[in-house]
Amino acid sequence: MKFVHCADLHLDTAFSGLADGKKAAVRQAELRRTFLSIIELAKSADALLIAGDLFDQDSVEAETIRVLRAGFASLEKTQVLIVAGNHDPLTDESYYKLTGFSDNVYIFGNELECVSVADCDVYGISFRQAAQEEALLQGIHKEGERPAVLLMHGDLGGGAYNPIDKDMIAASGFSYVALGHVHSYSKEKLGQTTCAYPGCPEGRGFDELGEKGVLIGEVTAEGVSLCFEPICRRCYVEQKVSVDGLLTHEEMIGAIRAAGVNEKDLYKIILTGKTEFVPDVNVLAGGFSDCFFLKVYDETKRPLDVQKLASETGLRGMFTEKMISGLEGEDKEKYEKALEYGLMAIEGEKVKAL
Amino acid sequence: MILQKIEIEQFAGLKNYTLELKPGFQYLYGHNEAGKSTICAFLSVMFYGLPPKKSKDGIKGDGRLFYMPWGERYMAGTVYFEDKGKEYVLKRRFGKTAKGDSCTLHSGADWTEIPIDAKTVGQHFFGMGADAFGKSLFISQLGAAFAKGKEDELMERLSNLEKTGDEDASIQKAIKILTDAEYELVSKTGRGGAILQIEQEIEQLSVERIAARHKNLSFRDLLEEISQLTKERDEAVSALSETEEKRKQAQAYEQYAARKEQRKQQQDMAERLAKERSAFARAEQELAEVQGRLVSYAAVAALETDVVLQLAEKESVCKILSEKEEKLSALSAEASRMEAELTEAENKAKKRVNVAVLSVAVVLLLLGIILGIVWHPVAFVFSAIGVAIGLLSLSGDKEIKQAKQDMAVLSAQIAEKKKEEAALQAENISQKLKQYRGELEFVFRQAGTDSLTGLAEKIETARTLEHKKESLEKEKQRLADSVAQLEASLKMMPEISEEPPVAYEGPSVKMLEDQLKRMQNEQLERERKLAQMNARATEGFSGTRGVSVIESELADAQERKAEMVKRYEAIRLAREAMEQCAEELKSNFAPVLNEKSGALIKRLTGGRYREVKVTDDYTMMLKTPSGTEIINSDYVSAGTCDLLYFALRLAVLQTLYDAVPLLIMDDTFLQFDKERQQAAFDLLKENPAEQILYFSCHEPAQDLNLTVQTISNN
Repeated sequence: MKFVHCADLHLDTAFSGLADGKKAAVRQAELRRTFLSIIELAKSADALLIAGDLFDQDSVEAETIRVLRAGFASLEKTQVLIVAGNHDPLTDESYYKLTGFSDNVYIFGNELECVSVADCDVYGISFRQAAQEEALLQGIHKEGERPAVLLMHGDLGGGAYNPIDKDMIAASGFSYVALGHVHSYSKEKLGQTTCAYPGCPEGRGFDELGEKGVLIGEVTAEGVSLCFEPICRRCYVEQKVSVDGLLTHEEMIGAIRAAGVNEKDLYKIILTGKTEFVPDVNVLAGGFSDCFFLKVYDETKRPLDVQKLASETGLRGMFTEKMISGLEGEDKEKYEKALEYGLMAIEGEKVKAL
Repeated sequence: MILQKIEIEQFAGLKNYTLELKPGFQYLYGHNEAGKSTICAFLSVMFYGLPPKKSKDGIKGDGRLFYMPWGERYMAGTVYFEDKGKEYVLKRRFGKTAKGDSCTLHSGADWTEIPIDAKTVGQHFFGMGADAFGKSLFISQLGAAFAKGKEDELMERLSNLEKTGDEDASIQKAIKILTDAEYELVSKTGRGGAILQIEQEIEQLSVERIAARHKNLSFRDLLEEISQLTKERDEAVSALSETEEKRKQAQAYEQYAARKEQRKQQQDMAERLAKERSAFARAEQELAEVQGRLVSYAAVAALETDVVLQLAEKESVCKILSEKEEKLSALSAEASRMEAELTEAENKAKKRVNVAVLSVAVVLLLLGIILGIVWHPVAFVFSAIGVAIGLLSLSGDKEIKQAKQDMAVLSAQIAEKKKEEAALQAENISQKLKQYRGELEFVFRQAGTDSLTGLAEKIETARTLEHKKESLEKEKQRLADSVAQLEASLKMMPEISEEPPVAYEGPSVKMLEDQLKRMQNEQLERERKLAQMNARATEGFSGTRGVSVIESELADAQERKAEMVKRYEAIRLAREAMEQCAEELKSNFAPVLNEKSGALIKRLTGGRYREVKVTDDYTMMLKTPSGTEIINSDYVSAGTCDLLYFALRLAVLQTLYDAVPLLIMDDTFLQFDKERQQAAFDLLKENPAEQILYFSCHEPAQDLNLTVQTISNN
């Protein structure tokens, strides 16, 4: 059986870290298109395995459901097999039950079921609620001679979302366990069984960095072949850029560019280093209008010799001395900033609030 | 700073005016409109430019208009002065607009140009801005008092007394910068600011999210409804098909029943046909019979309709005639008898009677009677003749008389009878009778009857038969038509063969059809609703932003708010610390200032007020002479106020400068009494500044011992 294995699309879950609704809407559309790319890939496979968290039950929109339905329906020769995860559990109000998907779509129920596809048996079980502290399967073993695949949303590392017993898997006799829940690709062999998380196919925040995609593979009587296929339209990139000693926005923009930015990916740029110049992150971000999304976080520090300043007579000394005690405490960042602002104000420089 | 010479080319009311000045204290006297205030203003404008336009003050608020000489397009002048050992020539010109302004500074020694910014001339030479200048070195007429402005340079300078080489360091400004930044985030009233705005944004987004969630729920509900209705629809499809089956059954049965009925009808019709046919045959037969019978009544039939009547009439006539005949015959008989009698009589009478004549008479009589009757009444004449003959023959004797009498009587009688007879005969009775009888008999013979009754009967019978024939014919015709019709109908009727019986118990086809129609309408309604709902599910619930997009924005807004709050707290911390610094700094200079101004005030008031405390906003708090009360400088008399502020200015200047460069005073002591004036001028004579220019429109009192320089405009 040739298959495409994907999971955790999280259609219509909120994106984090995007500055405005328009960009979020663009990302939402892109995620839908990534789904359609997966459908394209699946056209040459026997089965499309979706291991849960396909959408977010609470926020999925009508349009998305329509796209899903149409997408699945366009697969003439491919069986779509879905298990529900913790974000799209198979409850009575689940869209899995309410939407009339085409005949080639099968959604596994709350008890273990088996479906045959090509020359394999595919077992699957869905989440019935949003959390699952108890493992969905207490024990499992394949029945029959044909190679068996298990499709399930859960956590090999334990936890509150269907913790999976590795020993159980190792003893199961399954050829392949198609998992979902962890948002980055990983592969593991337990006994004779290959387990894999395809990760999410499109990142949705700066906690999901790097290349994202799906797994394409084949299960035969001999075993499993697996290949990671990146398909994300954009990647989330976090970049620390040192602007030590740089004194103008232009220089800093140059430094960021030198670190490498392209127009398609989403960037979180963290400025580090010491400089007297206090950058305006909005001005810096404005220098990257060709990028889809670039946000700058300023973690630069002023090169201040605090002790020396505090010893000055006059206003600066007076003021610095007031701040000094706080610089060691738990609000040290606040005091650092306050010192910075105060010194700027004493210099007659405007302190920008926004 | 020593001003050496003032040259006014033209400024306000002065034109081509020169004034030479000396260092130290000078009392410059000029009458009103001599130009002293103009000179003061000129000096201020030369060093600090035209004051910023205050539109609310009208012309007075627009220095350019106010000072521009009448009908002129520019004002200009030069100031020669010395500062820190160097000599300078300052030339300025002001046009109708700022574009026409110019300012040059040359070294007095070698006339080299010294680049200078027109805006900072005063700042450069006096070390302070226009505001501070106006509050310290420059005392305009009746304008000694001053208050703290928004950016109070004096206060700043007082605060910033320990110079670190950082000339621009200004704590008030720093506090303002921080406060401004703070207010940007949270406004002064607390009801505005960026943080509040973003909170509102967050609120709005939350509301939008609720609506979006609601929309999703509606979509879900719609899907559920669709699922439910589809189920109902499918159930209805089988119900419909079941009902249709039933209907077919009912229909089959009803059709069967109809055919059965039809068959029965056909049978009935066939039976009727048979009956009619036999009736027809019978009628035909009867008709034939009647017709046959009628044949024998043909003659009767040919008779006229009222023949019976006629015949009856004839018969009655015959009867009458017959009676008459009888009568006649009777009469004849009678006559005969009588005749006989007569004859007898005659015989008797007339044995002699000529028998021959008598017999002729009798024959005549009889003949006459018979002919009279049968032939013509005229024949009776013969009878009469006969009689006469007779009579004559008889008229002989008595017996003959008697006989004659008898004969006369008889004859009379006979004559009567014979009259009657004649009459009767005249009627032609027997002929008629014969005729009639003949007719009658003819008819009777024809009719095959022998009596009128018989005839009548026969006629009646014939008539009856005729009627019967007619009715039979009609009947026959009717039956023929009926048969024909029945035959035709039967021919048109289709062949309906026998079939096995069909059993059915249930509602009629009509009821089932009604039910079907109802169910179909319901189903149509369902389909329509389903189509609508499916259309909505396919097309609707779009157009507004989805929950995920809104939540993305929300998360971003929260992040921004958090950043803002962090920044706000840092700024506030800095501001509070800065304010603390300001307080501390003030506490540095405040006592000095208090002491200095206190000393000056004590001196100038002749000890009346000894202690003073200067507040933040330059209000002075004084202790009353008795020391028990504290008065606010706002509440003292105008003259005392001028004095207090003059003292303060001098104290400030003395605090700020090692050497106070210049004092320009426009009749500052105008409102002082004589003692205080004395004290004040004594003070001025001590040269508390390098140069003191005291302008006045009064000549000083003699005992003040002041050198007076008169100023006048030519």
